[in-house]
Amino acid sequence: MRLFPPQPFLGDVVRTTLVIWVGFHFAFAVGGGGPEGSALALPPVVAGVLLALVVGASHLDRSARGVTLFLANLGLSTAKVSLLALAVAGLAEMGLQIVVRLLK
Amino acid sequence: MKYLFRAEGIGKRFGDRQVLTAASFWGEAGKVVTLMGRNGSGKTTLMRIAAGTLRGDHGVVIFGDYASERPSTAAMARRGLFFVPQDQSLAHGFTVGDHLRAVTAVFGSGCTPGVVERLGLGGVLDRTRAELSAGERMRASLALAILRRPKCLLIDEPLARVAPKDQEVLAGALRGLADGGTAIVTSGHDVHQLLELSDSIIWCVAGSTHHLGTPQEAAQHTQFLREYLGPRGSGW
Repeated sequence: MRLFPPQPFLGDVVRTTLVIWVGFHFAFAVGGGGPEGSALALPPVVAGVLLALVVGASHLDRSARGVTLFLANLGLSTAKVSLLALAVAGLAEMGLQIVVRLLK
Repeated sequence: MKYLFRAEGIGKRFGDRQVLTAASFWGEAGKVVTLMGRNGSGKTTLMRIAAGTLRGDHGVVIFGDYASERPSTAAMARRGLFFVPQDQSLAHGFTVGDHLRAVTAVFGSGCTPGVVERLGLGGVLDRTRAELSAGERMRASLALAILRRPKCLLIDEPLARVAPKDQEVLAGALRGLADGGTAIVTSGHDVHQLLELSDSIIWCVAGSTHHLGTPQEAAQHTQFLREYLGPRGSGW
């Protein structure tokens, strides 16, 4: 059973998830700010909410563009692709947290 | 097993409107089954529920060893189902070539050039869905299905909004798939082409379905003639 979508659909999932993550992260940082004065380092609960929103929004985007159905016809379920989006957004979030802590 | 794919007792209500009460259809290896019925009779809803892209209120879908009241498109696709909805199966922002390569990469199917040539897609491989006509989109969707070599193809209104020449190409490709053993379930209002293409007709009416038999038998069905085919269709 295939784990990842074939190219260029894999690249599309990664790219759109990252774009949505950047947008939501920017909105969260501007809206609430983070602990210890850093606008980029979000508290774990807030980061969890952000990841859930990113996964939901990226799923809606893929569905609206017909990508979800095409990938389903290839045997890739919505859950599997959403897990991929979660991994991408989670890695981006973790990477940012590490960079923010290193720069402090 | 006679029926490769079955959707049985499907019901669906949208708000106050009961679209389907207990509708059923099936796909048989090597045969083309066509759902016919007036606009709003629930053909598309029935097909979407059977394909797993819309949740039904009740009913069961059986495909080989898979049976579910809440079918999953991906789970059935892994077992050999391919679904082409009314608005076709191409994703926005990707070229026809991207789609064909993706199907080939996943299912390892060959003879892409042959399929491209047969469906006249050579000149549109680098075009996206938005740049294609309705006929080109449906031909591209059918090319994906052919490359997939599905056990069962559900294709909603393949001949709608398509030029007569494209209808010929599409009908020929569908017949070819069926002759290769694929169970095809289709729908639409293009009476003459669909009756010629089909082996079996199912009439969607009043939220339910009635198997009318072969196209010849359907064309003799008094109520079907009166309520659906009308005077023009009766000449078939």
